[in-house]
Amino acid sequence: MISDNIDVLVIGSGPAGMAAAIQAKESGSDHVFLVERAEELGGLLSQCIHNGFGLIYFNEDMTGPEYGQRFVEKVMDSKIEVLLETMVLRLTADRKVTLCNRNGVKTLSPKSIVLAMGCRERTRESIVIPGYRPAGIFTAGTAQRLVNIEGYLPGKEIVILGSGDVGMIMARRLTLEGARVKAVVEILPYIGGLIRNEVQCLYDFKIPVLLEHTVINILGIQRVHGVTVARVDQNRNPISGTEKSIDCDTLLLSVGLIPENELSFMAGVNLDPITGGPLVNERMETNLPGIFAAGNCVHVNDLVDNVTLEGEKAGQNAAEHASEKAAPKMGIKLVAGDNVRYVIPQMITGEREVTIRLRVKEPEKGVIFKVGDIMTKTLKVVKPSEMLNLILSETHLNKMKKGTTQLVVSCQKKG
Amino acid sequence: MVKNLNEIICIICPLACRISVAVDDEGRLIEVANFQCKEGKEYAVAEYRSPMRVLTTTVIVGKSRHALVPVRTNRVILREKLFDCMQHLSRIKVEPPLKVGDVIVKNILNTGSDIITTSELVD
Amino acid sequence: MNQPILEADVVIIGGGVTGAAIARELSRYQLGTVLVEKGGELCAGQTKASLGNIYTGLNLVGSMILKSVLLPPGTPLTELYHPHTLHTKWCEEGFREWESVLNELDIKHRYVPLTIIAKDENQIKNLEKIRDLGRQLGGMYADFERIDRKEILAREPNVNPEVVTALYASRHVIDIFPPEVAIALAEKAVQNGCKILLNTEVIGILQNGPHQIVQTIRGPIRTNFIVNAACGWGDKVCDMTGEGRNWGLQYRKTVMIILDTRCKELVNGMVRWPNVPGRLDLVQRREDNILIECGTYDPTNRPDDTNTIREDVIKSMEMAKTIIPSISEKDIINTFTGVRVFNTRDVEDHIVEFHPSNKKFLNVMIRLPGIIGALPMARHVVGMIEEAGCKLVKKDDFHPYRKTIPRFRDLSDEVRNRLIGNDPRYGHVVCRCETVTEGQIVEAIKRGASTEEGIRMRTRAGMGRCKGGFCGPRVVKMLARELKIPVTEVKKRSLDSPLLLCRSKELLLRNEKGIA
Repeated sequence: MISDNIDVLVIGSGPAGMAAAIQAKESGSDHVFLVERAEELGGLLSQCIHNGFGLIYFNEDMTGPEYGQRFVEKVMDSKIEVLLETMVLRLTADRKVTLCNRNGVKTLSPKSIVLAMGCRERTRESIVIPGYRPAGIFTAGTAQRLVNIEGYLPGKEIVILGSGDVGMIMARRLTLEGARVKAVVEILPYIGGLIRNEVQCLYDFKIPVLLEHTVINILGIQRVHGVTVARVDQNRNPISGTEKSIDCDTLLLSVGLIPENELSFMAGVNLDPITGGPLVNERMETNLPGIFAAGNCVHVNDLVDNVTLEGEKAGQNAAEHASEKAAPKMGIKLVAGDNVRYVIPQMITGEREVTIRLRVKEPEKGVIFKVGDIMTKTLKVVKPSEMLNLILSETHLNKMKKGTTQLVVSCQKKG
Repeated sequence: MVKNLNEIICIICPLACRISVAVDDEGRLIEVANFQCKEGKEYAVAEYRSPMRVLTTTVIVGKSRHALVPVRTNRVILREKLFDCMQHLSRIKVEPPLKVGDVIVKNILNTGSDIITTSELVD
Repeated sequence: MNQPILEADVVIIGGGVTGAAIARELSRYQLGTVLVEKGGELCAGQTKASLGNIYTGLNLVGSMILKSVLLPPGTPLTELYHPHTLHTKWCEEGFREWESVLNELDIKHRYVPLTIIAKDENQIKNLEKIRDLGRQLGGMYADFERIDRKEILAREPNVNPEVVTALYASRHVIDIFPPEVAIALAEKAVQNGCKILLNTEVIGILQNGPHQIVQTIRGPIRTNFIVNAACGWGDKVCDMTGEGRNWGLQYRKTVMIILDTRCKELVNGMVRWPNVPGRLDLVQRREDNILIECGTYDPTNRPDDTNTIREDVIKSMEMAKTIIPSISEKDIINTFTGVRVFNTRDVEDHIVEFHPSNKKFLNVMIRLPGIIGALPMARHVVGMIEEAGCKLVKKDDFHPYRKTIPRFRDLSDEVRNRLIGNDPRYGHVVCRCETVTEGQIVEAIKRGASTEEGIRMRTRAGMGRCKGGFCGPRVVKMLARELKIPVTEVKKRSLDSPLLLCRSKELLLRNEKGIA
């Protein structure tokens, strides 16, 4: 029953969206809507059939579907209004949401909105890999859906560009299904994802890894029949004379995830050019009152457990906004300093404990993190592919000088 | 006595120590080097002796609007058994309804692990 | 001799905009017309990667001025205007006609203001030549303004701030999507009785008494007349009927770039530097994104050399930034390469002639621009066929109007709800980036789309920034479902472009021993 007295409307039913919807209910919202464009709840969790999920949140080593099922059950038990195969066509700054499904197009006016659209994958076209436009080029996530949900393999002889976790997971998955992964090609001098995946996806199966290489041409006019790879220099430019061809019928791309913010942009949400996602405060609220955001649409996470926590925070605050609870003032800006690529949230009250999530720009060993001059933390090793948490307690915040309006978060080599 | 050196990359923490496990020709442990914590040392020895893995894959579903159901081993199994299990499972077909944790194959290929579903399939 | 599978009065070889326009024109008459296309979809060749504008006036003068370097001093500029060429005649006639036909065929189109800018002395000189020639020719060619820097920046605020002067015409360029034009013409032809055969490459042409046999890979067609509209492959097709060709073909490739809709506000119309021989430098606002064609027309020896070279893209972006400085590589969502075809006998004009040794084989070798003059070209071709002895009797039930597949994205919520009320599949949005619904995809398949590319060209599903990341698997399944074929049989375009090579577990079941 579509009602017009909606407290919280959540866009996207991946881990962030489900957590937000459940938490909104638990925080007292009567009418919570959960809108999903796909055929089922869970977002990408349904296709992430590998394990490694829930180690923090449930203290168990679960697969994506198992992790998702816990939340799907809670959603179904919580009287949340679920709309599947429903696309949000429009979003406005004053929170008018236009939905579309087989029952028609309708505009709703919820009191709060949580944006949880997740992310999309960078494509061959946007990184301009030369060549014709043959069939057989897939992004790793789309291939994952095809293999794990639809029941089709993109090809039999695969080259994977990009050594992020999605690429490595698919290297293993396709190998187990009987395909041959001829190489994983990575432009940086190090693997992009978790060590665990490096070992259990690549080394276990003796899949050749070409570091400091990239694909410089795709061979094949109607269907891929090979790729040309070359070594790159420090500026990531191909080195002439190092070209070699690898026969294959499929190229999988794992070259970056981009927070999906078409709706945010449409509504006028301020986006951070570094993350690609909305600028948020410690309540996960955007610059538009009542519009909150969580999960990969804010910044690309590595652990789904953190996405759930973020979603819960957004859901709780969305519920509070819907019940017209007074919102605290956000007086302090958090700024990314040395070797810090970005920090989330970008605005805090400065009065309550807050967890800062961040990524570094370059890998480094033996570092000290500084938040203004109120907090430090040392770490043995940091990598851009691993998101880090810094907890600013009230004790730390009390150390702030009067009149402070911003805190710089930096990462420096010790000694 | 001949020392055979094997390098194990530790996956316990982001340091990813390259731990060296030295064994003699009879496979007896001589030395473990280049680790930074007890857990890492234990992991490296276990991993050298007998690498164990969780297998996650899919099984074909019939009489359903779904094509596949995701499954896993409920225990770690020997790494060298992964492909045999994949072969075995490629011949199996299941039907809904299925709940998370339903056993599809008990003690698959004598590994001591069952194959259980990881997703609910109503229809 | 095998029994022919098909009988026709006219066979058109080639399913681009040229072949489609001729097919539609022929379908006005009581004739058996068959169009054969070797690709898996219409517009498989040059039309697909064409720039996509119907233009006249100032934009035409710009290209006329290219030859001014060859004019002996003292020769009036008007010598550059060749109204007797088919190219010029048909461009002039065609532009006037398209406005009503675009509406008749329900083809999406938009007038786009044209600004030819100049910032340095050379460019100003070129601009002044364009201005002078335009004024001397009069009519549409003189229908433009000269505007100064202030006015340029008012109309195109993001243009290179160093521009000094420009020529401006507001209604000389109509932005269209070339495959949509060709497909609309083809749909009309089919609706009025023409047969279109895809995946039907012509491999030979034989004489058979008073008739000809067109041999294709799917069998022979016996016909009276043949129209060779095979563009880039026209020379090879022509030779199949016998020797006597006194022209060849030359090919030039050019790269085009599409920028994300997010930055579309950076440009309002088409902005270009004055034409320079061998180059085209323009940045154009399309309805929902930006198209860049900045580069040289590089010779290539193949009509299908659509291989994109990275350096060309980089150079193109650099040049585009001289026009609109704030565009960025980060916004690239697509790059593609088009091949432009010219004949070697008269690079400025088309060749529309019967074969010297086969008076029922008509070569229609059209150079760019191919869309502007397509309608008068088609009438001319039909006239030539009639003169060659083909009896033309007009049909009295020719249907000129076409309704497009509903463009869900462009409709009001009210109209959308009406559509969904009639067919709930119009409420199932499949392509997020372009807001394309299942209803549209099913309709496209009904109208002849049988490949991923066919769906993309008819509905735009897969053309947005995620390039089919979300909609791709769903579109493939819908094609399989509607065409009643296995998913593994669905193609990207031609028969040798399968998308998904095997089903789950197939490789494991085949390989008993597993991978070593």
